Amino acid sequence: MGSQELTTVAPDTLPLTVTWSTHIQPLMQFYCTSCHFTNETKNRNGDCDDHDMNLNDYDTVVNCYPDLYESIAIKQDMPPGGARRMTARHKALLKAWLDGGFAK
Amino acid sequence: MRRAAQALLLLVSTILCFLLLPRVDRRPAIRQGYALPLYTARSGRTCDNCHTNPTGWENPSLPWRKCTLSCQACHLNPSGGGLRTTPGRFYAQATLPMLFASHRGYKDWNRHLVGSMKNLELKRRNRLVDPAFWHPLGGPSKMAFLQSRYAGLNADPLLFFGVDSRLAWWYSGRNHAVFPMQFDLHAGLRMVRHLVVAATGGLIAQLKDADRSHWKRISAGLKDVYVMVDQLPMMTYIRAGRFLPPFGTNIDDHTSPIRRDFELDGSRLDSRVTGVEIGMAPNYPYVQFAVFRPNPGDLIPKSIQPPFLGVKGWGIAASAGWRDLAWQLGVSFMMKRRNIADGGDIEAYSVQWGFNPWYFSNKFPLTYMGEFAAERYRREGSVTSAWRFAVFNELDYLLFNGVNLSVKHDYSDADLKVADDHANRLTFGVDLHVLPSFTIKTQARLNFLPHVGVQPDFFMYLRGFW
Repeated sequence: MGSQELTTVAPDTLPLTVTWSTHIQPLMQFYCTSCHFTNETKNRNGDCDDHDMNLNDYDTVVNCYPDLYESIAIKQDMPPGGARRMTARHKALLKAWLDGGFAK
Repeated sequence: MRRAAQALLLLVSTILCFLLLPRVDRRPAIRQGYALPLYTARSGRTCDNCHTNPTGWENPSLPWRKCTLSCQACHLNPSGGGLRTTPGRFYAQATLPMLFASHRGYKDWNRHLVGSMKNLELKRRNRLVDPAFWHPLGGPSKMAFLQSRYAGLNADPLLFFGVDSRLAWWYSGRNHAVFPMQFDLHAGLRMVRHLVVAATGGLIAQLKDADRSHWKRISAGLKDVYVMVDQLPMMTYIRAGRFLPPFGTNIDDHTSPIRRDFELDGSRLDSRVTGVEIGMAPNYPYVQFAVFRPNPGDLIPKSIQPPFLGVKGWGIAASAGWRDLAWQLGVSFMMKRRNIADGGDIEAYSVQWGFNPWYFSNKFPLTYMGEFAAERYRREGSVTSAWRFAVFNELDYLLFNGVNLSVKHDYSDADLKVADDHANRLTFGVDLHVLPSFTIKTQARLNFLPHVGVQPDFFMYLRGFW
C-alpha cells in the first residue's frame, strides 16, 4: 500500500555520513552473513551471484553492490523465504551509502 | 562418509547444547516453535483428547473445572508453548501420533490410515517414560489431578521436564541448508500445589553454509523464567518473571509477520518482557493482563543480548475473549513506552478467531483459524510514526490419525505509506505425527514478491519433543 519509495520513507533518521563500519557492516551481519560468508577475505571467483561471497567484506560488498542493492531494495527477493526483510530505514541507509561513495 | 560426518556433527552439537545451556551471556538467535493453537481448537470435540473418558467420575463444579480451551490447559505457560501440563502430555501421547498412541479418542477409532493400526493401541498406556516425578505437598490429589485419568502419566508431579528439538532442512531451488532449528529444555518445580517455578532454556546453531554442513555458531540463553500461583478457582493465575506478553495467537511459525513484526518472535530474547501477569480461563471466557518492562525493538541490529530485566520504560498487554468447544473469538491490546533508541512507542491491536466444524460432524475434520493485527509504531530511530498490519488465515484437515494437511496465507504491510513493502506468502503443509513425541513437518511456500513474482521455497523439519 502507499506511494512512498522504500528508500525515502525515513530521511529524518539518516545520519549525515553513512559509513561501512558504523552502519552497513552491522546490517550485513544482521541480515546477510548467516548465509553469505566465507573465511576467505573475498569471494572466491569474483562472481557476485556466488552464494559463497563474503558479505562481511568491504571490497566484496562494494564490488557486488549493484546486484546487492537491486536484490535487497528493488526486487526484495533477498533475504529469501521466511527470513527477516530489511526495514525501510535500513534500505535508505544502503541508498545513502551508495550516494555517499561507499565511505569506509 | 559425508552422512556419517553430518551425524557426528549433529551428535556433537546436541552435546554442546547441554554443555552451553547455562551460559546466558551471548546473544542468542534461538528459533522457536510452539504446540499449535490448532490443537486447542480441535481438542474441544471430545473429552478424551485431554484425559481418559470421565464416565462415572465426579464432575467438578464450574470453579474447579479445568476444561478450558485456553493455552494453560495443555501448557504451564498461560500464553502457550513450553512445559506441558499433564493433559498436554496426554494429548501428545494419545491424540497426536499415528502409531502407538497411549489412548485413542473414541471418535478417532476409525480414522486410521490402515485399520490394523488399531491393534497397536490396545494397551491403553503411555509408551514413553513420563518426565514427571513425585507429588507436591498439600494432601491427596483429587478431580483433575487424579492419577487414573491419564493412561499412566503422573497427574500431579512435583518435578517435571520437557524437551523440544528440531532439525530443519530448507531448500529454495538454488540453495539449501540443514540446521538445528531449535533445542529447548523446560523444567518446572511444584513444591506445593498451586505454586510453581518454571524455566525454559534454549539454544541454536545458526546455519552458515549448509552445503558443507557447517554450523556457524551456537548460542544459548534463558528464555522464560517465572514463579506462578496457578490453577486457582476459575483457572485463575498470577505470575511474575520473564515471558512473552499475552497478545494474539501463539502460532508455530516464528517467521510469520503477524508475530515477528509485532515484537513477538518466540525465537528471540528481545521479544520477552519482564513483569507481572494475571489471568483466568474458566469454561469458556478468558482474560489476561500483564504490566511489564519492555525490551528493545527487535528490528534494531544489536550485538549484545538484551538486558534480562528489560530497558527503561513500561508496557501493558491484555487479551480477552471466548474459546468455546467449536469456535473462538478474542481481542488483544499491547502498548510499550520506551526511548526512541530502544525502538520507541508502540500500540498494537489484534482480533483472533477460530472455527472447528469437526465438533459438529465427524465427517468434517476441518479447523479454521486466523488473526488480524495492526500496530502504530515509531519508524526506527525517528520521531515519526507509521501503521503496519498483518493477517493470517489457516485451514487444517486431519486426513488420518497423525496426518494433518494445512494451507496457510500470510499477508503483511510493514508501513502503510510505503509502496511495495508488503509480504505475501502461501504455505502448503503436511504434518506427520508418526510416533509419540516424533513429528515430521514439511512445507512448500510460495512467496509473492512485488517486483519478482513468485519465489518458492521448501521447508522440512524433524521434531522430537518430550
